[in-house]
Amino acid sequence: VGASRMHDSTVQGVLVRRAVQKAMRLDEFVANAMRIYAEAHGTSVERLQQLLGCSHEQLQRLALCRCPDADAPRFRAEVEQIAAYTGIDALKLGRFLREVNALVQLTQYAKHIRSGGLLIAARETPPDEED
Amino acid sequence: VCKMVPANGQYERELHRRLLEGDPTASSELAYTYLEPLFRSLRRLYPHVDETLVSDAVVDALLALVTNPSSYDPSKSGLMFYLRLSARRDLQNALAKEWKVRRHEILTPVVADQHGLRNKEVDCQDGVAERMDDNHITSAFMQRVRQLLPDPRDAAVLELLLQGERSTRAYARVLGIQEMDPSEQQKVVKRHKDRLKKRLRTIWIRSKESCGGVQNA
Repeated sequence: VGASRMHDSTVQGVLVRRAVQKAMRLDEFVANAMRIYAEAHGTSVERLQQLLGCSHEQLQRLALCRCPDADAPRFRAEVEQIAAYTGIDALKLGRFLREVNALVQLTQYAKHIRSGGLLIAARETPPDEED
Repeated sequence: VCKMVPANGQYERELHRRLLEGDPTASSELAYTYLEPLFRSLRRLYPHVDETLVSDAVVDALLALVTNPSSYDPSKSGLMFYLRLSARRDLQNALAKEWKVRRHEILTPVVADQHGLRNKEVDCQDGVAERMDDNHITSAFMQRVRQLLPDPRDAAVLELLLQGERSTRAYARVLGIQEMDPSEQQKVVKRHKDRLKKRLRTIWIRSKESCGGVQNA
């Protein structure tokens, strides 16, 4: 293998960073929840380190985990499993994931209201000259 | 924090089972276990290909498995084998796209030159490039190129040109002048590339003659 722009010690780091970037657009991953939170709060993903009290490496491991469904009965168990895997505080992690879940639900509700409002408006519009 | 787990058959099957069951940490474990070995494996096969293309192929293959774990059948192959195959396919598709663009970029001026268009602006999307694509002269040309570039360094430089490589370091490596002063490296690389492009023009003219002329569209 020829000389590489990626030095041996950082190959994994570069690859993980790329995987996290791509996972931010996939619903399955916690990375996507991080993006939603960062966008909603107008903050960087890195600020989540402070919120969750973790290192950059822990945050990346978390980002590549499957995002637990906050409405599912297994939510608490899954949060605890992720907490054990990443070393992040389960309470903080659970609170963060519930907040993102609430944000997503609010967004969906707002969309629903908007589309519902349009439907009601359409229904209330009198038909054109139908006798 | 979990340490990296060495990949083996039993671990692979277990990890895949966990992915299928929606285990929340399986995807992260998968990434931390396989990303780097996959990248290194593919890099060995494609040492001159842009690292970003290789890493993207590796990451895409891994994320595709997470989003659709049933795409892998453990009874048919090992997980590492499957991921490597998937990443290689992604990379080959990406390279095919790149190759098409580079071929136009490099060969269009050669064809344009032959058509007396050298001093005119030549758009890669115009008829010259398309004509070149469809013409059997192109294949004759590439065949001649392979025959007439016996020096493996020329072939390696051409390969880098077609891949769109821009870093002097990559060319210096294939020319064996890594130890040279960087400014000197730049000069030698430029000289080599210019000489190669001139030779390509000559080969193109001869290919055209041996094929009985370019058909004007």
